[in-house]
This record gives sequence, C-alpha cells and structure tokens, in this order.
Amino acid sequence: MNFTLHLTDMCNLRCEYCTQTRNGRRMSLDTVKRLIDLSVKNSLRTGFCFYGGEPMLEFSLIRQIIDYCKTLDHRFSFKMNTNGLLLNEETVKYLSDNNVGIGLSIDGLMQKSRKMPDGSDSLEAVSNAARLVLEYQPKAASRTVISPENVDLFYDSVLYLLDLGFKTVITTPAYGKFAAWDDEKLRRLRIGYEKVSSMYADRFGTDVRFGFPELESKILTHIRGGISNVTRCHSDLSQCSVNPEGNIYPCIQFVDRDEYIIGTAEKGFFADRVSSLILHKSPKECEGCALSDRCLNFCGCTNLIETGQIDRISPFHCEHERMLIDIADRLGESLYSKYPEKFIQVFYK
Amino acid sequence: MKIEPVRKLKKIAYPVAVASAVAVAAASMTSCNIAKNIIYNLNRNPSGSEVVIEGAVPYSQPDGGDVELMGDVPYSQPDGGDNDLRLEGETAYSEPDCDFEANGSSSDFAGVGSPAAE
Ligand code: SF4
Repeated sequence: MNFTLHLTDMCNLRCEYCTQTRNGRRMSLDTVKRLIDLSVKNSLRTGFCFYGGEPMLEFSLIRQIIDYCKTLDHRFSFKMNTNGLLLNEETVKYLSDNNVGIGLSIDGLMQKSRKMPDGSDSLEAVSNAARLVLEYQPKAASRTVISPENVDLFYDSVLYLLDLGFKTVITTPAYGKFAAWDDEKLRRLRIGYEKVSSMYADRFGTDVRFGFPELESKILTHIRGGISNVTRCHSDLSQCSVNPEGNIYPCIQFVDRDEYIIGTAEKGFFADRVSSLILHKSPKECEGCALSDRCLNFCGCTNLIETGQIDRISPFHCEHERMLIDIADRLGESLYSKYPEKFIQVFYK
Repeated sequence: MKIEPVRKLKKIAYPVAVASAVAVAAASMTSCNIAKNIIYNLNRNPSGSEVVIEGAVPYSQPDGGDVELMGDVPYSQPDGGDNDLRLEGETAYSEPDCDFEANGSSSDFAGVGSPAAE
C-alpha cells in the first residue's frame, strides 16, 4: 500500500497559489506505526511519500519512521516532495543513502510567486538545493507550477531548470481559487507549451533530450489507446493521503475534507466510503467528447479544487486538456516523421 | 474559456501501438487499471474468492520485473468482502529510483514519468 503522509501543515515558504492552511498540526510516530500495521496486514510492501506542508520541517520524524521501518521484516519504499529549503549535504546524503526519492518543488524563474516568510526571493536557495539533490539523485525531476501571473516566464523557466541539470521537468498549471486563468492567460500558456514542444523536438534526436511528461503522457494516450493505460488518478486508491491526525483520503486535494475520509490509521478503510469514491464517473459535460479517453477529466482531485465536485470539470481544465492533446499530437507527428526509429524506441516500448 | 466536447477526431499521423494480447495485459497493469481489473475480476468470481493478476510491467521497471496483484477487495464485492487487499509487486511509482516515478493526477503533477529522459 502507498501512503502520502501529510507530516505537518506548516511550511517555510509563502507561495501565492498555495491553498494549504497552517495550523501547526503534526503527525505522530504512533500514527505512522498504525498505518504500517494496516499495510503489513494487507500487503507485502509499503510506500511512503513524505509530504506536507513542508515535510523537511519534520525531518526528525522522518528519521524515526525510517529507523522504525528498518526494524521490520517488510519491504518499504520512500519518496518526498519538498521545497528544498531545509536540505543540506547531510540531509540529502541521509535521504539518498536510505533510498528516499526527492521530488523538488522548484518553479525556475516563476519562483517569484514563492516568497520566503519575510517576503524575500527563494530562487537562489532552492536552486542551490536542486544542484545538491541532482548531485546525489541525477534523475530527480523538478515539480514546477505555472501560475497565471507568471505564465510568460514558463518557457524560460523550463530552460533554467534544464540548465540547472534537471533531465525531466514536470509541470502543472496552478489550479483552484488562487489561480485566476482567463482567455488571455490561457493563450500565453499555449505559447509557452508550443515553445517547450518545439525545444523538445529540437533536442529529441540529441544528447540533451529531456523529459516533459505533460506532453509525453498525451502522446502515450494516443499510442496506448487511452489514458488508463498511461496514467492514473489517485482516486483509484493506489496512493492514499493521510492527514496529521491519521485520517485517510483518496488523494492529496481531499485531505481535511471530512466527507472524503475513507478510513483512519486506527480503524482501517471504510468499505462503503471507498466504493462510492472509486467508482466515480467522468463528468456529464464530457458526454460524447471524442477526447474523453485521453483527457484527465476524471481526476477527482483537480475537479474538486476547480469546481468543488469530483465529477464536474471546469472550463479551464477542459481547455487545458484540449490544448495539451493538440500540441502533443503535433509534437508526436513531427517526431514520428523526423525520427521514426527513435520515436518508436522511446514511446512504444 | 469553455467546456467544449470535441465531436470529431482529427487524423493523427503517428500510430497506435499494435500489441499482442499479452503485451496489452502487461501494459494495462498501470495502477489506474489495477483497481478496475480487480473489481472486474472479483465481480465475475464468487464472493471471497482470491484473484491473482500477474504480468510484467514493461515500462515501469528497469528490469521489466513482474508484478503480482492478489486479494479480496472489500469495496468491490456485493457482500462487502473481507477487507483483505494485497497488491504485490513492484510498480514504477513505488520505486524511488525508477524513471517512471508516479506523478499522479494533474493537480499534484500529472501523468507518467518521462520516457524520453530514461
Ligand atoms: S476535452 Fe473537455 S469535454 Fe472533452 S473530455 Fe476533456 S474535459 Fe471533457
């Protein structure tokens, strides 16, 4: 079983697009032990993703969890999503030695939306963290958010991240109430994707090719005949989120919404709650859409923060999906015509 | 911005994968399908029976290793099952050092890992 552990709701950054409330709640080792008991009863291995708030604020708890796991005859894997500010040589080495995959939230030049609590810029500090992480984990990918305010810096930010040494740049647009997308911003977002797509095509046949899952995953939805063969939605309960008190939710955006609790660390899963969520359907608005199989319209998390309902799509989400599929298909066509062998080798394995 | 179902597909000039039944089964072993597969199988089996789904996960493991999924899934069975769900095996998203690390839905970083970066 895989759990995303919301170790704390506190954070040492003040990102403009963040929807997290900070109340000083912290997870206890006992809660994690209960989750381990639950997982050990039900599976042969347990995956933990350390998450927050900022999980490195709870580094001593992370160490306790890893130490405890080492005493058990059970297989564990670990990863973490961090803003990097509290990473240093010692902690990165410790995490790497213990096979904790580090996902670094870094927005490149768009980082200006992510201020320190005193209002100062965080780009230099997080860039230093990125260099350190890449030294120990060269395949680490950036987790990069594009907000409407910074959309014009999107392409240059991807360049910046590649120059820093990332080989894969994972982007997502900011969703939710703090992300004021409109037609003009969306048009500029398209320009950004078009430019990244053309850089991707230029570099595809070279040693400096890079990964850009936002478009690659859409190419794969065509090749593999649908999104279910390519990606996943955490509402399938493959990676449940757990809040500091030990309540279990289908995925990150559901956390702390009582109506979506599907279990607790203490009592396990509630079968009736699980079934009603896992079987949720695609939005009604999408009926008859020819892109339905390739669209993330079923993502309960995104739908929830955009529309307040897990099965209602927002206009922005719909336009964004159509845009990605269009750009990805043109990218796929151009790669396939220029580098057919390489394209097949990369995308059809 | 608007919700606008697309009525007609454009012709796309890169091919759909032609795969054998085995390869299709293997490719469908992404986690999104795990639950659906299990539910599908359990619904076809007498309640409480064990389901084992085996297959290689071709793109998710560096060595193409096996994944085995087994168990009774409580929420997928008419009688509520017995709360015994075991998913076994190594899939990409659970392996920190794997290229195909899980990224989840687009709200928390969409899609799959990068094939090009491998
Ligand atoms: S493109 Fe829009 S209408 Fe079509 S499936 Fe996706 S969200 Fe629904």
